[in-house]
Amino acid sequence: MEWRRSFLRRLAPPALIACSFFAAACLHRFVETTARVVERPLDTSTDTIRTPLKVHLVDGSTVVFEGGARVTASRIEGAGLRYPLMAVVGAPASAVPMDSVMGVEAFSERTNRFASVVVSLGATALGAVVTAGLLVAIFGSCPTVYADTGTGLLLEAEGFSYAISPLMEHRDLDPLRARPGPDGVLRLELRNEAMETHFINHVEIVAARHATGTEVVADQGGRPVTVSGFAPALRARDRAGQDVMPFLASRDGSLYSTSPVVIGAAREGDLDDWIDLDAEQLPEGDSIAVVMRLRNSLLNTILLYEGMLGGRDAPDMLTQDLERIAQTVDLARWYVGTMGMRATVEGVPLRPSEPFVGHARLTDVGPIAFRDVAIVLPRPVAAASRVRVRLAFVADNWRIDEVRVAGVVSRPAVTMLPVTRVIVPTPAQGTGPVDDTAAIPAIADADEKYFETRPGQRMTLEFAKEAPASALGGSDVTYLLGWQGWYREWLRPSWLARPMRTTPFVVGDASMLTALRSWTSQKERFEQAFYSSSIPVR
Amino acid sequence: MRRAYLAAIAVLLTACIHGTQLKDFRPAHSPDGAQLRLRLVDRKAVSIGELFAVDSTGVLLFSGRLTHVRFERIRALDFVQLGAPYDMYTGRLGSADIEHLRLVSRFPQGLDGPTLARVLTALGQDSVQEVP
Repeated sequence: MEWRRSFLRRLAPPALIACSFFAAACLHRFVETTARVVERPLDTSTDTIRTPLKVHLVDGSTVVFEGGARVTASRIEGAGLRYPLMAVVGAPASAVPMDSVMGVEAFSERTNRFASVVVSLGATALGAVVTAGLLVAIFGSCPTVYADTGTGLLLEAEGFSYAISPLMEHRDLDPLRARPGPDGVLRLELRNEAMETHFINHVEIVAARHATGTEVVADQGGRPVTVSGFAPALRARDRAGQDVMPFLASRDGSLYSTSPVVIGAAREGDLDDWIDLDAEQLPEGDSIAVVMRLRNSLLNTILLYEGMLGGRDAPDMLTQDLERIAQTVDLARWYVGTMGMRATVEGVPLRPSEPFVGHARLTDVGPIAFRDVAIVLPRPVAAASRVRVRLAFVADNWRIDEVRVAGVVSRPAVTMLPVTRVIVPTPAQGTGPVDDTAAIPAIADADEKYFETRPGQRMTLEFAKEAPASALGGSDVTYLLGWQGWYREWLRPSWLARPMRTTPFVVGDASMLTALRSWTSQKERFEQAFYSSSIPVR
Repeated sequence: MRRAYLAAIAVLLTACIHGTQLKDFRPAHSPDGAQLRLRLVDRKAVSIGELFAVDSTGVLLFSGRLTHVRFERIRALDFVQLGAPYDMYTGRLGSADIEHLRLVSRFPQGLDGPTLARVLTALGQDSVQEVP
């Protein structure tokens, strides 16, 4: 018995300390300090406040009760310090008569319990798997929307990808598979599944009426476009000269990605891969649309996490640099000229542009949800039945499921359906579901009001019913989600503890090439970690 | 064993905390207002100073001199110690945002009349400097 006690005595201390280190490595607490107005009690009741209290007096002086105070209708009592106007040293004060008070404010600290628990658990679970220095949940980029399409909730869209500062706020238009329910109401579930704060400015449904046999998608400018008259003959070759039509012929999950040969040959000044499309037997018209189903690879995400936010200067990058117009403009110019997808039509003169964007440019759409898009382009001559288009992009930036070329392009009649209800199924306090009435005016228009969501939050959005079809014309309807906003990345401890770069991030091809090399070396592992690490919603 | 318990508690206390804790937030423990970073329209420079007050047209910021910056001159603002919820992008300031600002200023009750005159005297200024 004695030996056991002795053994335990020897083993327990190091075990206890080891466990503490493990726990400390996993416990994350998200706090924020807020101030609120303290109302003067109207009756004989006493309000006891146990957090710091600041009392502003008529004569301009301030009394600070660091340990809190008792507030009655006639006076405020506690252990305070009174600071005359502009004084830096205070004198003890134990009571302040209410008739000398102009205002009272209390400060308190609030813990985002849900995020704290989720991040702590996420850190523990992922820590064993991920070795790329991204220990906390890395599922990034923007809000996601799900809809019940009859087989359970399915991912429909991700919004304003890579808009990581207010200056980068933008609007997206995503075609949906969702349809209104039997009651005529279209419902979507909005989620925050990332370690981000989402600032959502505007959400609406664009209902587009169109003829049967035509399709409505979003064009490169984010406007709905009706397409039909697809070329029956289409050939596609990539920069390596390979026939890539087998990947692009249908939406079957067989995705086009850049050949390793092209990736290996990428260098500063020439980072591109491209696909040359040859479309024949097009119906008459003066324009065409390259209609695609695609999403981004995680190359952009690597550039963001390891490049821009991969150094100890990440907090400054997020809170200062990206809110400086000049720096953001520099970044944007490089981004526009480098990222996204640039389309050029053979035989159509190019106007000189700086940065070079071809005849049209499609912006990046994000790495999570596939989007149906169209790049509307001119034909070399009116009614040309054969067209060659080059789609150029940074090597391995895209995953493309399907490409078609439409010869008939028009604009659909549309109706805007605003959000009418925001329902929170499991609120942070109390039992749900509850209606969030404050959210509706925040997302009703693209204005100064924002709806802010935190990791783990989800809510159901209900939209106004559409007017009868006869009033709008057209026999089919496609619903598109129009939404606008930006998001702020939460800094991960690992970014600061184990920086991926030690020199300042410089916008340009060199940074992109570094990201491309890093992405190529860890593609499979990073994808696995990324797509399995979304924050669970409550 | 007792030392191990103490060590364990000490280590646990080092768990990561993100954001500003109440104990570290200076305006909660002194008459000071929050420290603010302002980025103005058409300017690269960032103004950093103490938020003195907020009025219907802009903010009073003290950074060596007391200056008044109209809302339309502000491109972005963020607080040094407060988190993202307090960071704002102006041109879009709503009433709730202004209330946020006001509550963490030195004079949430406003600064004008005789009190402003006394503040200016204390600072050695004749008047509030308007930022062009």
